[in-house]
Amino acid sequence: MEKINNKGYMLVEIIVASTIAMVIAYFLINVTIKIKDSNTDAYIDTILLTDKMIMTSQIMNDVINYDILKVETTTNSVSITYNIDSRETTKTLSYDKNTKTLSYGDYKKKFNDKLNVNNINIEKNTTNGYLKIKIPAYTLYSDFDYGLDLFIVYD
Amino acid sequence: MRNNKGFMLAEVVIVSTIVTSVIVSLYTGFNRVYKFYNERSHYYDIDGLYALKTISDLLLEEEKLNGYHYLPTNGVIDDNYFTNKDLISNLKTNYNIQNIYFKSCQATGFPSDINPTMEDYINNFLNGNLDCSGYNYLLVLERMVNDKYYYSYLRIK
Repeated sequence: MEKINNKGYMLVEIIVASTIAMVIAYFLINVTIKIKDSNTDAYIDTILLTDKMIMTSQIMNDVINYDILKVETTTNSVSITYNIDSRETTKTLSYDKNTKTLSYGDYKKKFNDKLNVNNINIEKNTTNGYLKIKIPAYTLYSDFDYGLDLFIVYD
Repeated sequence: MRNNKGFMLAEVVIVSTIVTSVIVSLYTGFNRVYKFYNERSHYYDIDGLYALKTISDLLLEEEKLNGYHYLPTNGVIDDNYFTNKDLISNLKTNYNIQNIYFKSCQATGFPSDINPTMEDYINNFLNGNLDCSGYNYLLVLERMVNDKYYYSYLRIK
């Protein structure tokens, strides 16, 4: 009578197979976590950069498209008077630190909760005719400034 | 007699190899996408774009875009190129501008001593990708923020 081999798997075989499987599983989980982290970073970076871009273009579009007639500054706000369709229109730019909200004319934008936003810094140079407006905003993990950094030239 | 010996190990090795190759190719693919994403955020810099607009307005105001004014021979303009030196100096300080390249609207002819990041930017984003029809000049801005280079370009009519 032919004898059937019922021995099953050898112990050493199971150990070797499990070890290989575990090493590969560790490597794959590691890679998956790295991909997930990079993806999250890119996602947050995109949101913050888009916000910065929207806020910057909201103000700079007026600066580019209309003549600036007058610039008045206080320590935490700046009022710019434009010539829009032959009418004097004043828009005030300010930042409320408590609500983390930027206001410019009727436009309001709250900074992302992930950002640490510093106070508004305004510098007006009447000799050379320029205005610097800075609202620095950083995340905990990056030195990149996601806030406002404007340099406006006026006559 | 059926021999089942060695089946489990072979199976694990084959399946693991397939799964690993798939994941590794996914990882390299994702890394390439992430690299391009990072490059894009470094090579389309919003602050740099508005700085370039300010510079181009200044060039226009100082009548340096009329076709008769000389272009810098090495393609780089410094503060002395402008009449309003203080303004350009303040702008450069404000945006951490390292270099302003001002040339005819062709991506070739940049100085030979540019840094590798700039070279990469020219090769990947400007050479062959720039539509200069209707544009005479090209302004390229190089900023350095937190030891990283950021670039922007602006075509001018």
